[in-house]
Amino acid sequence: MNTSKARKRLEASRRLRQVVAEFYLEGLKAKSERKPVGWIPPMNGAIEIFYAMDIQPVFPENWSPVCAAFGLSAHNFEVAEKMGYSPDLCGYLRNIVGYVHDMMHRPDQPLGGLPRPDIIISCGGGCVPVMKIFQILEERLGPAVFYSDLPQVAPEDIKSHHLDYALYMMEKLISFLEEVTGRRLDMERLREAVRLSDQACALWDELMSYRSRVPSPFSAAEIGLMFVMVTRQGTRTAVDFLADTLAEVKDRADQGAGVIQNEELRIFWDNIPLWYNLGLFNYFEEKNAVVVAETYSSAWSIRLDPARPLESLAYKSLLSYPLVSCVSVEQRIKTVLKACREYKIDGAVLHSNKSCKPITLGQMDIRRALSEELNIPCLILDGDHMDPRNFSEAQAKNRIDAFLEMLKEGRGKK
Amino acid sequence: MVGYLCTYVPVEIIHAAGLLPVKIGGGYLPGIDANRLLPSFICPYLRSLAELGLQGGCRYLDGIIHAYTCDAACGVFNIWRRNFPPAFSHIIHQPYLDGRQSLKFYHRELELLIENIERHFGTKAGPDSLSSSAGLYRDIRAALARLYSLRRREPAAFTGEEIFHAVNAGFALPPEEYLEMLGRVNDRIAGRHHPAPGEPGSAGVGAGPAGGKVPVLLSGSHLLDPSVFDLIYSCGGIAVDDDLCNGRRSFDRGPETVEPLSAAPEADVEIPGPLREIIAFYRGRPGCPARVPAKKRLPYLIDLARESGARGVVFAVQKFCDPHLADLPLLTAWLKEAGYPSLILEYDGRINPGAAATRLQAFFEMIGGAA
Repeated sequence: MNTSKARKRLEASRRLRQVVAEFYLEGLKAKSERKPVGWIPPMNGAIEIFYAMDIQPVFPENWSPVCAAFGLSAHNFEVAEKMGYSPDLCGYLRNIVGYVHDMMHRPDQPLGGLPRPDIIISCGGGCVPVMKIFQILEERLGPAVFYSDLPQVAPEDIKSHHLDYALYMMEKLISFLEEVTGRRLDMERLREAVRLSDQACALWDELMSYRSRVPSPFSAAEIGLMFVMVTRQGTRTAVDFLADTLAEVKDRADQGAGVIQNEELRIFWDNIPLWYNLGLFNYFEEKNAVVVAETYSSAWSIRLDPARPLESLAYKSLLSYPLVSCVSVEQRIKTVLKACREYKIDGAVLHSNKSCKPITLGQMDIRRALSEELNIPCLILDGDHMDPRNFSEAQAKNRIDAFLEMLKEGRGKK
Repeated sequence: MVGYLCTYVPVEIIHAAGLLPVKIGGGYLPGIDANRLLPSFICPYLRSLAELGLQGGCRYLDGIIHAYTCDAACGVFNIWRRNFPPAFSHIIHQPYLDGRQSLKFYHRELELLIENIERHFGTKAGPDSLSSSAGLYRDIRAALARLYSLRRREPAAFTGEEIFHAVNAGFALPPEEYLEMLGRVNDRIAGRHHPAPGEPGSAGVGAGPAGGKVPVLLSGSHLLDPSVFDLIYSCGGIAVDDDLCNGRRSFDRGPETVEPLSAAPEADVEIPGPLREIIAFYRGRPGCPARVPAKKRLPYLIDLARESGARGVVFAVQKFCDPHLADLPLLTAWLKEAGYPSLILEYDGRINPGAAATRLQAFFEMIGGAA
């Protein structure tokens, strides 16, 4: 078996189940009430605009981890591959294409399934598979399409004309949405959405910072918390959920309650987790090691200025994807090194993810930098964030065992 | 000498600054050294580049330039910069869309490229030299277009590999010399005796210009293994035109369906003469799937197939190439609807002739019989 669910410690994880169910239910309700539904890629700064205009957002990529959790991906992959989509393509793409072609039209779907879109945002930016997902879905679902553009610029190279262009795209998106939905964007509502989004980011940062405590109050097994950062930025729901979670985590940290009693090793995880096997994070815990930080969770926290909502969203749209991808290897190395210092990391697991080239490229350089600058050893773990066929759990556990033993031995020598 | 990864890099600008543009990577370099820098699931072209760098293959370059196309190429460019630090490097960010603001954005990107080249190399790419380089490359593209039209007239008189090498020579030769060579090649071809059907040297009575072979269009990314042309020929087909990154797409001015710059709504964007021509070429050229959706590629492929007399399309796609692989299901279905069946050859560095031959033969039998 290559799949396994994570054992979670936080009460927040139980509340999260309700948040997830409500989000998908809201999508179906929106459809039945003839409220416009838009399918959008994450990381492009559009979500706050959607919420401010009362347009229901749906994230096809985010649906893939849900399918993985419910064990539906294997069927979706089979459908997509029969359609001619190569098994070498990103699992998010194959999952959603297969789902839209087949399962979406069935009555008995988990969480009620996805509502059909009235609008699609097709983005010339982000990674190639995301661009292609929306181009494929557009052909299949035939909604009104907004073609957006998002230059992939290394954060250290962003210049005024990049910002001007991103801002122009935001304005163009608003005009499109106003025209298609017949609704006007109220700038006050947008400011409020941006304020809530920024507040969520501040809470998220604070929440993550507690993981630098020894012992860490929660581990990567709770990474599902990120759901609110992906789907609910710009809403009170995200802020309230994160505030409650923060209170719980603060309480645990103040009591010195760790994920495990004997936290011997602190581990960093690079790349997207195995959505079908979040239980792997618990396996580390069985060996007295805790995954206390990861690259992926940092991508969702970009502070915004509510006084300049559109400029903030334009900047966010430029920054999100390059922060975690190979658009800037230098920036990623900097982020990983900083996290490894702050979170007092003993060893790093670099997930060589067949479903995500942009995050995997540069890992050899990250490994070298960690070794040379911080003397932190790395384990390269072959896997795939969506497709369990590209992951061997037994082999992975073997390698994790050897890696953790080596770290413990090295620690004794320090 | 300045290296570049992608044919979206405006070589005119490099040349105008008194530098020689050279496309990095000519062929497939097998090996596992690339694993020191890259995961195994990256396309063989980019893995070959990593091999090349590790072998010290490009130390003579004074700099490298890339134009953002796909994720993997961007990653490899950045990994190259870190592991084989060039004295100069630059990446151009290209708009995905057309329109006034996109054009303004792209114009600023090219100005930045010029500023950075001038600052680093201490040379000048002023309006006169830009204009002269734009003219030189305009002539080269016209000469290549002529070569392709000569092949269309009588495809059996060429091996596809000859044409392929004629295009690829331009990625390394000084453009002035290359233009002269192309002129000589074209004149020799145009002037040579073409045996009539039945005469010695002809393909046979009734064989037609394709020599009795099934004419096909060859489409793909950067072709690493030109033996595919011979393989197609030996299996009963002939490549009468191509839609390859290191083939027609590198010089074609693009589908007629794309409006010329002057007629576009962005015509009022203030762009000085020579840069205007350069921008018009790179914005109008046929799109790579990393830069355009499949539905924008479709009319171009149909036009090429129709004009060249191709009866079908052979896609030679590199393993792990996301942009091409993701387009294929829609593209092949639409081509079929338009009357052009297709065959996909996915290859990892080198085409496996045994496996490919069986499929090619079956494909040519199928589409040849329907003629």
